[in-house]
Amino acid sequence: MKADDAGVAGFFEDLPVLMFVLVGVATLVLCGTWVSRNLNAVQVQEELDSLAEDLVNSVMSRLLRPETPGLMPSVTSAQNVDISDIASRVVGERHYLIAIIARYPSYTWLNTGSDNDTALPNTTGYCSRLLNVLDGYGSTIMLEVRAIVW
Amino acid sequence: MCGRFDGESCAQLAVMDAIVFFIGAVLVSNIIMSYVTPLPNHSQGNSIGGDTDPAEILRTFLATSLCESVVVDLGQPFYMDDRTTAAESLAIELLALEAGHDMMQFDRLNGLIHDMLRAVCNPAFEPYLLVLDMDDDLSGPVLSIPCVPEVTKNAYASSTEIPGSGAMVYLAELVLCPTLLPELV
Repeated sequence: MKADDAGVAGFFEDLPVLMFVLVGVATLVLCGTWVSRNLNAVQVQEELDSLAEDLVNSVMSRLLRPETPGLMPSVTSAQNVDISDIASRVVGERHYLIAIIARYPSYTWLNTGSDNDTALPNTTGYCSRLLNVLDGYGSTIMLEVRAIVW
Repeated sequence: MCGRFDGESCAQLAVMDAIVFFIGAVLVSNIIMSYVTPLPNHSQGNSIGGDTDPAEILRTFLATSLCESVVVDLGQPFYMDDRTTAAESLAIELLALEAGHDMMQFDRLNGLIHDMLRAVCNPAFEPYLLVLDMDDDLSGPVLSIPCVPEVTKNAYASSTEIPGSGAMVYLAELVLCPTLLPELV
């Protein structure tokens, strides 16, 4: 590459300059696009996780009944709680799948609720919490309330 | 840095300016991406890798019944019925250990406790329950179900106090060690 003494450069002499400038601009544009998409995906993810957490907390609150503190719910109440009614008020337009599962002494699905949406989700929010309930024999067992929102 | 080139002719070498711009663009992109990349893809909130908080696992576990009767031979048979909670059974075991009994006598109970913890933990983690004497923090754990491996890299833990005999208080600690590569948890 020669110095441009006359201040007038031929087209082919400027090609490397053009290449460096174009690649530099492309790098900045691609980086900006990627960052923007990533931030947007994180925001959507956080929103869905927060919604899933709200859903699980609502079901937990219905089971634990804060108005009667100290009273442990029973397995029967976990089986009979209307999950779909709670979920439809919490998640709004979003789709959901929620389950109450006995984790110990046996792994048993006690109650499930879903809006029966069959579309494949791109992003999902997830939350899971544990609680103790009384079974029919007076033993305290472990339940898990698990929700997926998309 | 400047793209001016002081040669014999003091002329401007445009390609130097372009190279400086290109290097600047790459550096700026790298810096921005290095700040954005560590952002979590999943909210960690009350969970580890999407599963439940160890503090919640420990609290729920301690309040859960054994759901199986256990008989311990302490000279004479000691009977724990299926409604005995994990916290109560640990208190009994700690009392017996204080009285000089051997931990081997509680193998059945400790196996059951380990099964309870494994039932509620994410399969990507191996649970370990340690009980420490709060008055004697120099010695090791009074009870370890099962023995904790020496390497506990990337482990999660939570602890809570449990009552012992008289005024004694023990610290129950749940340690969750990843069984898979940390990147997959």
